[in-house]
Amino acid sequence: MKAARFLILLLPMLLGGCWDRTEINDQGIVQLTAFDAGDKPGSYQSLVQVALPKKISGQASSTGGGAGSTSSLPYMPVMVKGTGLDDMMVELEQRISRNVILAHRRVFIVGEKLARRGIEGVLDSISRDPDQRLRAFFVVARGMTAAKLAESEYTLEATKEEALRELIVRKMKVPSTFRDVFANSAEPGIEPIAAAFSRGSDGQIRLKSIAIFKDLKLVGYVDGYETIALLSLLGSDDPYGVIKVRYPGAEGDVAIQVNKLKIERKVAVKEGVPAFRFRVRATGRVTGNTAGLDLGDAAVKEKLDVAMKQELRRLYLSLFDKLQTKYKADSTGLGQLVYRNNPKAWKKLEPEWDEVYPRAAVAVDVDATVTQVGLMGAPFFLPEDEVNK
Amino acid sequence: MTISTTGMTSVSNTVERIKTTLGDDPDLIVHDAPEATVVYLCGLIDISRLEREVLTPLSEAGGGFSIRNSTMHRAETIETAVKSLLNGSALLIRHRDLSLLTVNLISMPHRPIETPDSEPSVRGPHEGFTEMLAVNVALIRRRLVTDKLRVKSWMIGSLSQTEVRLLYLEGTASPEVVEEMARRIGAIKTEAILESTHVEECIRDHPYSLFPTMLSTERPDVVSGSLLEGRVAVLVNNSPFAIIAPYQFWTAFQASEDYYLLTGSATFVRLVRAISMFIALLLPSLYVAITTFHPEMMPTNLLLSIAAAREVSPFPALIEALLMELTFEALREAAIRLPRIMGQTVGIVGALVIGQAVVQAGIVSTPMVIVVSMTGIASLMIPRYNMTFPIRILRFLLLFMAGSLGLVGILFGLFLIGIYLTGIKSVGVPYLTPIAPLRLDGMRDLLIRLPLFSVIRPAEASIASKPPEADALSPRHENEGGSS
Repeated sequence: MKAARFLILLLPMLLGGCWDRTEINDQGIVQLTAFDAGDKPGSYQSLVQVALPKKISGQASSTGGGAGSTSSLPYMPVMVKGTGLDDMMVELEQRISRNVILAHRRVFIVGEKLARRGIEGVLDSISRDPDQRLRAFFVVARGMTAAKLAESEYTLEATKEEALRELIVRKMKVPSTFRDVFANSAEPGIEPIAAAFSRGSDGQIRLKSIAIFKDLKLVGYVDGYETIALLSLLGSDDPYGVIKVRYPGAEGDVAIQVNKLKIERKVAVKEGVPAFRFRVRATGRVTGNTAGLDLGDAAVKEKLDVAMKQELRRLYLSLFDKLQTKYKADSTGLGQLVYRNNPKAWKKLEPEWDEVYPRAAVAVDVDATVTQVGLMGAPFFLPEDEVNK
Repeated sequence: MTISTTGMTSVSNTVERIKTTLGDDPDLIVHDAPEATVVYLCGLIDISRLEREVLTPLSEAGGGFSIRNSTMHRAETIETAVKSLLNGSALLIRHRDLSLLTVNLISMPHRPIETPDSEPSVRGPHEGFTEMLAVNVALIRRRLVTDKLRVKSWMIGSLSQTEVRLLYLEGTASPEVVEEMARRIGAIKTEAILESTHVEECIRDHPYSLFPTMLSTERPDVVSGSLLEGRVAVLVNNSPFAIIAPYQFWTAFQASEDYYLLTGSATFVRLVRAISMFIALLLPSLYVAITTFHPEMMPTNLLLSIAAAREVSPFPALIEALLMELTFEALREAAIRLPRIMGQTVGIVGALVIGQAVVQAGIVSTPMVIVVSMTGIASLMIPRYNMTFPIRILRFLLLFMAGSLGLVGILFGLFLIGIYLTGIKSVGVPYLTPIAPLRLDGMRDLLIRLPLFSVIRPAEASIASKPPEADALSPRHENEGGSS
């Protein structure tokens, strides 16, 4: 009978598959890896946080208060030392009583020391294993070890990983996933960057810098307002940041939040020498007016626009100065621009790009307007005669 | 002494003979009237009519044999006489020549027309078929007032003598389908037909298949609609369920109410139903497959929530799923058999108490209870009762496939089901029309419901009632100007 034949074919399939089955409570979900350089060169140490789902989702355990012996952390930290990622993995498996699942690890922290030493060793095994999540954020811990960053207190979120990740996603949208790092380091003419978390004097973590890499080694940081410029050059048109503009002839500043930043990139190669020209279009919103200006006045606004232009231009030029002369790292992709526009020229330039890049001429034209000034021109609390015109 | 055509020598002989044939039935009444002896089975006869039409005229001033009933017939043999007795006639044995005359006074007890329980609708007629064939045919004749409505009749069942009728619209239904159905009905040889399912099982394609290949419905408007689409209907005496053929898989997901709601509403309901079908079939399997084989496919936060809930559960996901699904099925069956008052209680007891208690005891995890209840609700969305069974049964098959091979297993199971379904036919029409073979004009009644004014002949194309070679026989084109 046909049905019997069907069944005979079907049964071995049913028998054959079960060995891949792992119950969820036999899976150890790794949320975060903090990777540091070990004491000797060539050795590493890593701190892995394995999620404890019960504590994360806040389900009240039936035992109530608990004996207070183990910490009420939503994860279990495991510290592993080794000379290479493979044997570190083995040791990790020896310490965790479940199957290690790396597929949900969304943050990978690298300590400053290791980043300066070079990250090739780390990146190789990550690019090899199919289980590794390429969209995990690759993050640098500035001025401390990765383990220290991973252990610092952050009460707002249930897990550290979520805190770090949300900071990047929501605030400074740094293209700092593994995928971006791989893409940028493989592509000619651009260097990878990463988000860098630092710790303030009060012990709280913050995201205010971007780590600059050259040849897979950390060479420096860009912070403050220059991060806006850097990110806009990399294609983000939604910058996060407020610039302070000095209005000529007034005391105090006007703070402008830049809404939109669009960059037009042009390159011209003359006799083997590239010249770059960037056209920046920016619009801004006034968020603070300590200079007491009447922003409703058209003349005032014009002068404000000019001041904004100058300030932005200064930012960009200072960024390029830093990148070109101080770090000598082509993080904004000038070489990539040449490569895409003029591959023949790039072929000639590429072997000497390390020398050409620091001297490349960069011109920045800024076109900036303030489009929103808030509810009213002048501050509400100033009497009429104290308003600056 | 006269010898009648029946070979009896006297009235008492005849009566004796009838009594013996019926085995001394206490219901058999013999009444001596002037001119004739009246024999009948009380309970089958309308006594007042008997009085009025037969007994009174007989006892009136003599000489004339004037019966006020127009169905008077001569019975040639005792056997035919007994047969008409059983069919609700009174038998008159004429004293003069011992001839047997039958008078039809049938009045069998029957249920009045009520709302069909199995297919309720909010908007739409609330009439449902009853067990009397004549009433049912009348309900259809009321809706299709045309001479094109043809009826064929058979008497099936040696002991039940059940009348079975085939209805179709001449000019709309394909002659091959009609012929085939007639042939199949005529070929039924059985002792008794108690319910139209018996007929359905004898005449359907793929008699062992899980999937229903013919539609059964209690609503006359569904039958009329199907007749208009070119299908044929089989009505069986003593059964309120009519059978309709040919039948497609997708018809199971169409309720008659879809045609009585406005276009937008009907389309919305259909879409929800389509989604529910997939949920009913796949949700438990997907849950088991993804959590145990493919945790990387889930969003991390969802995974952590489910993991937290599953920490306590001692069973593997597959066993949990089977346990809860079986419990749910048991509850469902139990709810049908309970008296109405208790039905509510079981619902509350089953859902809340058992579900809650089982989770709190740590036997089954909460996500599983959620999955099972969602599946249950989704399967209740399927309008046709006999289609819920294949879906419920296949759900278990897919669960096993998911538990052993993960998503690959589910895909494999779906392939198998798909292959099987595309191979089935219902009276020559492939089961998955209009999806396979693809017929674009049939699609307008499938997922969306286009307004009725834009549909000239709804789904005429959806029953590819003709195999490709027989296309030339399409009756539509020959009979132009069909019935209004």
